Amino acid sequence: MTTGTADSDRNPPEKKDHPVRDVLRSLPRLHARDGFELRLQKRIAAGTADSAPDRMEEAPFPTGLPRFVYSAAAVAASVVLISSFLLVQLFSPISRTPGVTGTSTRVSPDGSAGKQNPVIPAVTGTEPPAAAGRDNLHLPGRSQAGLRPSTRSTGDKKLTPVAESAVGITATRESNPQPAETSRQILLMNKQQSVTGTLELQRSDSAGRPNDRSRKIVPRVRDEFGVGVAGTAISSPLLDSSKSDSLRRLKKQMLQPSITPPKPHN
Amino acid sequence: MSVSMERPSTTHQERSDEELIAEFQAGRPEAFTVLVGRYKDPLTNYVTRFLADRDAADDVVQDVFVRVYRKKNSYRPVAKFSTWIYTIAANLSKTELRRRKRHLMFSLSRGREDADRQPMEIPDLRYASDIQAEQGSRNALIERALATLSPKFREILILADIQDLSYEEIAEITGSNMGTVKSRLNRARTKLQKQLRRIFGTDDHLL
Repeated sequence: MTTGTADSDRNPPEKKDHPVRDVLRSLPRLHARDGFELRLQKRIAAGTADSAPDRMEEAPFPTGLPRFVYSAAAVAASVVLISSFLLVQLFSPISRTPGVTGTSTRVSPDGSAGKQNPVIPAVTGTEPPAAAGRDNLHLPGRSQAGLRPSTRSTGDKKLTPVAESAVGITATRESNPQPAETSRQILLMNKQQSVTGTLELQRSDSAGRPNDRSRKIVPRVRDEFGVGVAGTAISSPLLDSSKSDSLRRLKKQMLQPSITPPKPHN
Repeated sequence: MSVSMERPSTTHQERSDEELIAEFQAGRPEAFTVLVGRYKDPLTNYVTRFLADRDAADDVVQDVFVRVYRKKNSYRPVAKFSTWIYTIAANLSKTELRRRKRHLMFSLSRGREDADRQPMEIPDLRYASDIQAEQGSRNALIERALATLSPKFREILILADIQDLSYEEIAEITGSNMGTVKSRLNRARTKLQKQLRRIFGTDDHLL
């Protein structure tokens, strides 16, 4: 049988060198089965001989369902997964932390902030005046305690939670509002929210001025969770670091943080 | 158009493939009969080696001729007819391979039956001694070794060493360039040689 091309043209010299070629050429030639033309004629006449790609497109899956059902199911499953993930992200408590002080600030043992952003709610302006007023009203001594909260905690070399001193500070700030200082605190808080270490150093820079000191930390004590100031990782001893030796001690404390703020009860 | 496979005259037998397809395009179906007679055996040989399944190969070759019959006007004489029909056969064979692979993947009930029809995708080199004991057929072992190659290597190896097509034709059929065909053919031969040496040992005089 001829296929229109001479064998001498098809066999370049280098193709004959490999022994595998001889092995393959030793295989017997397969022939079409008997009645091939007859079956072909029937298929052509019947017009039922679909091409292989057509058969592939029309072939149902083993369960009998067409292919688009599986495709639609796969798309629907993907949409459900993505939407559920987004919903979880949207309504999870962690995602609502901006502006909410109920979540704790997790401070890792090396002093850096943990997975959650440090919640430092000072100068947010969202503190209800009534709450500050109550603090000022019912705890008159807290204002003074808030001005110098670190006198006590510096001695035992423990970073005290902010909650106790912050209440008095808040009350003091409510009684002496200064807009210029507020804008400066906003700038300061931006740095504080980014890096915890920056927060501590910024406080120590202005520690000598009592009026400023009272405005450094104004955490919110109440939130929608009703937990109080649970997670503000602000160390009050820094507020009283006017002397150089105490400043050194405080820096040591910064390098050896032992803050494990309470978890929020949400 | 008539679908009768008329008996070709002697003048048809002497004509080239391109002349025959031109006659078939002009409406003479006896030319198609001659083409079927010329290519049914080479295509059966090629597709059977490629699929390692005689029944499926028979269906695919039938599909090839049906497609030639229906799409005869899509052939342009810029290429050789043999290249065109081998390209159709290669594409349909690959489609059949994919269909079987996918069917094998989704099928839970017919797994064993299809696994018997799909020996080339999961090479198992331990079969040699068993098959030697059972069949004692050297050709069967070679065919099984050929079936263990991946389709891209197997295709080129069959076209070059069994069907005796030239590099240019193989490149046109597979859609690759000449360098790819040569390098792939060399790698395919090396792979098959390794397989055959595992089966027959290195003392075989052919290897």
